[in-house]
Amino acid sequence: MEIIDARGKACPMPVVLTKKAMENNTTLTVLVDNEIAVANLEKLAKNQQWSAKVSQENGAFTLLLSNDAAAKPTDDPSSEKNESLTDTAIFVGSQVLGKGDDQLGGNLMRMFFYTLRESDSLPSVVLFMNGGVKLTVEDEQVQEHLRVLLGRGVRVLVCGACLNFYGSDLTKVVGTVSNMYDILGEMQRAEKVITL
Amino acid sequence: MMPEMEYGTIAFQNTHTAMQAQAILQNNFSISVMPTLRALSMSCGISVRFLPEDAKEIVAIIERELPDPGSYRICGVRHEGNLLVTFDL
Repeated sequence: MEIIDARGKACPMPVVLTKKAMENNTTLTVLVDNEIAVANLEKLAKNQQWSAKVSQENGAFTLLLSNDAAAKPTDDPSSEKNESLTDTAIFVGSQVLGKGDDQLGGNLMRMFFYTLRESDSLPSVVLFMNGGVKLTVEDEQVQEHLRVLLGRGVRVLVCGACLNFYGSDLTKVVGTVSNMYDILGEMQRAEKVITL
Repeated sequence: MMPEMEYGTIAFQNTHTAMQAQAILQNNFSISVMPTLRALSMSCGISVRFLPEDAKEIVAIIERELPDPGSYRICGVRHEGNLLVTFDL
């Protein structure tokens, strides 16, 4: 079994190395040293319909991944309760909406999500990167709107590298900590991407 | 006696007054910003939303802190079937 030692490697390297190794292996052991990498690898495994077992020792994580052909396709919880999700991704790359005054921009962003959560036509996914990730951790109003959107079946992906850069408290994130692969994948899959 | 409402909202004549009100209220009340309801014909698009139980106190503070009564409008909001009903507080 191939062993990938991705300890000390920054996002998205653990995912890059693992994804490449998946092409030529049916089982893999991956060593990483942070929870974001674990979460991203679990997601990669899920997307590829591999199974993942995680163990932790002395601050290091070991993931046993296997291409389990019998693994059932994952049920996306959003698909059950999805109301009228459009095939649209909304990309949020900043804490403020538009350029100009930041206080106004912050309010416009809050109002945007307020209006979106009340809307009959919802995007399938909202993607947060760079300063946008702070909205999912620090802004109580946006967090509340995101909880409502999640409850309505909208997926929320938040860039893990960005959370790490800003030193954000991961326990406060409203949404799923994610990576460039998934975020780009969502943008490519969507029929329309709205960038704020 | 306040009429029954789901939430209260304050619409403003201009954006700066909206932000002034936000600054006055945000530390002591659970408020959020929202777009001004179409039913309320004020020019500025930013409104402040507040909880019904805070209505009395917030009305008193806004009336005291914003001296020009023409610069804002405080309303209660409730649904009657599919209709959105707003009424001045």
